[in-house]
Amino acid sequence: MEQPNRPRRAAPSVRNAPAPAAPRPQPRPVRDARETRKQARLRALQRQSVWTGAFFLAAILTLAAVSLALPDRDFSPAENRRLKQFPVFSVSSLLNGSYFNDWNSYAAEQFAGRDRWITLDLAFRRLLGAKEANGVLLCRDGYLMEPPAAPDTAALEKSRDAINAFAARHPELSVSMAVVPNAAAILTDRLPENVPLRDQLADISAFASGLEGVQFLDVSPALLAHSGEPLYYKTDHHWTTYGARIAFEAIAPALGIDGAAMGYDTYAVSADFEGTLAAKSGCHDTLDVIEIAVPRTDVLFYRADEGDPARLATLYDDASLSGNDKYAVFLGGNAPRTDITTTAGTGRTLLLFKDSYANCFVQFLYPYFDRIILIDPRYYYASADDVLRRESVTDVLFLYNANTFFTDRSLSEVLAP
Amino acid sequence: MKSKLILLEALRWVSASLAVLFILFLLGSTPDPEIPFETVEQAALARLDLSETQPGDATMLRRLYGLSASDFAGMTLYYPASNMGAKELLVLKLADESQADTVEAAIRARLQTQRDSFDGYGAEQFALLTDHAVVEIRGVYVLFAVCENEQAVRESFLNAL
Amino acid sequence: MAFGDLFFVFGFLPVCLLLYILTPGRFSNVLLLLCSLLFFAWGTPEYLVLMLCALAFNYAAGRELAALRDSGKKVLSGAVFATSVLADLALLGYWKYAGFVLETVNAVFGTSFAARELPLPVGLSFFTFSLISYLADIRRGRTDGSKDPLTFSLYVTFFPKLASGPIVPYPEMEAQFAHHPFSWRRFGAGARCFLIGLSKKILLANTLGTTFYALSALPPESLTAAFAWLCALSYALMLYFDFSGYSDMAVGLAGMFGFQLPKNFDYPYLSRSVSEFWRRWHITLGAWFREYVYIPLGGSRVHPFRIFLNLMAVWLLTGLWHGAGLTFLLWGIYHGLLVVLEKLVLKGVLETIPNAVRVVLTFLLVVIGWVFFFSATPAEAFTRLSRMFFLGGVADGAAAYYALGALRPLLLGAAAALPVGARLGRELARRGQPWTLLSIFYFAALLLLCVAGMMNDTYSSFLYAQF
Repeated sequence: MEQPNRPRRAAPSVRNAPAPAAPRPQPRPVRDARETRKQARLRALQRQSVWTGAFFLAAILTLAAVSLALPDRDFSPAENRRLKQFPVFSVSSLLNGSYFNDWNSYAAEQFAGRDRWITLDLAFRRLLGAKEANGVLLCRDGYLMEPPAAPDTAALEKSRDAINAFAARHPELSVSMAVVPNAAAILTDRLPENVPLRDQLADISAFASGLEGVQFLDVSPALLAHSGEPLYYKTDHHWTTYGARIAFEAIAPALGIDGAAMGYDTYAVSADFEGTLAAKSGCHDTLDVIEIAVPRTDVLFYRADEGDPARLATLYDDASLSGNDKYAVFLGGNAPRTDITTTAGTGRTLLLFKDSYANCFVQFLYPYFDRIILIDPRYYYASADDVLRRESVTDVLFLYNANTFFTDRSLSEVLAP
Repeated sequence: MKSKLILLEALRWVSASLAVLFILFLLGSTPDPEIPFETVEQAALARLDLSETQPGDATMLRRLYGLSASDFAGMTLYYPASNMGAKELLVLKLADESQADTVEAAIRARLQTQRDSFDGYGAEQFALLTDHAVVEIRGVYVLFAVCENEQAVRESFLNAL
Repeated sequence: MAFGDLFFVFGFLPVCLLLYILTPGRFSNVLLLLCSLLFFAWGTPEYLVLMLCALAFNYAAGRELAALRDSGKKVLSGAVFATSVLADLALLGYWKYAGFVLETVNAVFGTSFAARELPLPVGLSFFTFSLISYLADIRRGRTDGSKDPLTFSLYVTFFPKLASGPIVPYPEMEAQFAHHPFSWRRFGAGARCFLIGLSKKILLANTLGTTFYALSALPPESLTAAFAWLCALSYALMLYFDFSGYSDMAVGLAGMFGFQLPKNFDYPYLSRSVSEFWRRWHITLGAWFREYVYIPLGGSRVHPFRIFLNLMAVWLLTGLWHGAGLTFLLWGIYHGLLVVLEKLVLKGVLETIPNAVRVVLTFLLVVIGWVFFFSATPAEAFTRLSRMFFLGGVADGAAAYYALGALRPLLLGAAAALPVGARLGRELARRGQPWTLLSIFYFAALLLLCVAGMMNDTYSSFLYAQF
């Protein structure tokens, strides 16, 4: 770093020292040799500087040129998001500074080989001992997990009060609720050693104790009992079909369903699923298998999304399997409201308030209800009471995963009278 | 020599004054609160393509933002017509400047909720909410817009003030 | 724009370099000035007006001071100097301290004044100090200043040193503006320096930063000693690599364009006393305070009590310069008191203590100082310190998680904070092949890892950038 700019010294002339007659100490040739060595070293250092400079200039020019030459990507499957496009110039964007930020983002997001660089960085950080990447825990057996989210106390209280009030307004309905713990609370033996996390099961219990008039369905014991099995995806924050089935069989009796009696045909519909956690962390080491469970039943059904005239006779969306978000094979993803009408003939209609965890849970529910109305409050703008006025519902179920529910602000809005 | 000094001194004064004026300009003067709400509303709407949105009333304002419309001197809300959309417009005229903090917090919460909803599921909507969202509070006038040309809407809004 | 941005390294820099290489010598300064103004204006283009006003103002003041000095008009010269310095300080003061002052006023008087927040101009603290040193140097006769407004402007805005220093007095650069020839050797030395700096920032500072930010997010009262020390140590190393990395990049960039800037860091954690620490950490800032505050106040040639006051004044200002907050003030005063102790009280005693012990002690004292630096309030700092000195238990399981995660980066950081690496590198480079080729591979590996790190780091930014 501190390379002094020493001027080049003239090369020493070769000395032809005549061989002395008598032995004499010879300081001068030694000094000459030292001088020559010094010169050589200096020249070597200078040569190294020149080479380093040439390498650096070549490297930055090449990478810049290659990045510019390669066509811009519109969407990044690895990161699951749209990438910044070539900045559009306008005087106003120049004046308020956004044009410059656009260039910063553009350069980073359209850089050649972006995904490979991120993988390299992750490998380097793991080498340095990192157990997390971008907030995602890097666990054993290739598992990626999200740390349990800290509950937003104000929002959570609002949700709880809304649920209690809703149950109080409709005493004729049987209202149940299940808050499913996330992978980090159940698959604890795969977590990195000693990692400090919130006790999500305690958070769930604390919430449950505040419910009134609502039957709380605790799925944790059943999941914990099977914690050695693939209850959650390795690369995604959702539970697997198997995990959903374990939970279903645990809570079915409380819902008045004889769940254990049903048999299922399981099919693997995808073997190369990479979920949200792979995108978030940049870790693409593992692939997941998505299975569907088709009940062995004669009950037929069709489903319809609100506002969509199509009536589908299947709960699964094939098109999603060739897309980026393969979990959307269940119900085609999130919709504000979906109605499932069946030939079950049980006389029960279920109103299900849900997040995406319930998408793969519905395949277990449908044989037991004449109708299931699924509402995702994050996208639904009407009110629940409106739905109840128009439909004759018998059961209400709230099915959420803990991380989503603890920060949710939408449910209380939809439940408002 | 003296004239040179005078010239230099003049340059000092001019540049110092320019700097001070410029800082004042940057700080911006509070817009005139007597501007009728409709003018500001029309200005914002002029640049907004209203397709895929529907007008919202006080109930929706409460539902989406937790704000009570009666607290304000003027309110216009357009929210997504389809629940998988993200385009949104909110123009408010506050009754009092002290409401600004609450309103800003409510808007940011709404933006965050929307982002969380579409994160991982709707890349288009998420991109709209992250790259094309603008929140502008000037005096008693508030603008929140999520749309493709949010800068144009913002400019139009600011020009009306 | 920061040096560690992908756009800077692969967009701005190659374009500037190519243009510079292609531009004939006469216009090279103009080109550099345009690049520097673009760098300054990036992100906040409206501030260009402000910068141009500041440049015009100080250029005029400089020319006036030079003329007045030659003609001996002391009073007038003093007036011009005082008003100019006050104006420059006002610029710095408004952006950095208006908020703090208003808060204090509100706290004391119960008022509720609010200041409209404006984003900080790039390098505000650094270029205002450059301006003040320029005017002072003219007044004292160390230089005649620049007759050419372009050269003056380039001195102030030169982008390698604009954002975060080093703070260079004009006389040190004066001759270079007239003559800074391009040479591949100097370019290469600069590239080497830049790559080392970039690696320090991206590979070391950011990695240590992850640990630090995770630990500092925990409530200070709950920390055990192990946690608290881990937090402080990772901060100490992170700050060092962040800032010295940035300074290396500055020196390297300047070298690529043919300029030589002074180094700003000299293995500060090897200091044997706090006084020595300030000759090795942020060297140019210490030099600035010594030259333009301490010595004008009388320096060391006065009565010991006066020396004490002078030192405390300098360190109070040093603390304030780093941030507008009570913790920064306390940090400054803490260092000031230590320096006073060493200079006036412990003079002979220090020599008797073995060097190794001195280095460790100094390091501990500096780390304690950093706790104030990164705490939000003095109360928090004291809580953290009490935990560090075992008032909260020694360690727990969670500490093991963070410690294991931080172990390798800390070891790597500790090794990199010693001169061994650099000395070894220089020695090997002098040995010719195959070491030269190997060093190229080494730098290539560093560059690869840095690009990877920059790709993933959208949120890490240089800590001193807020200054």
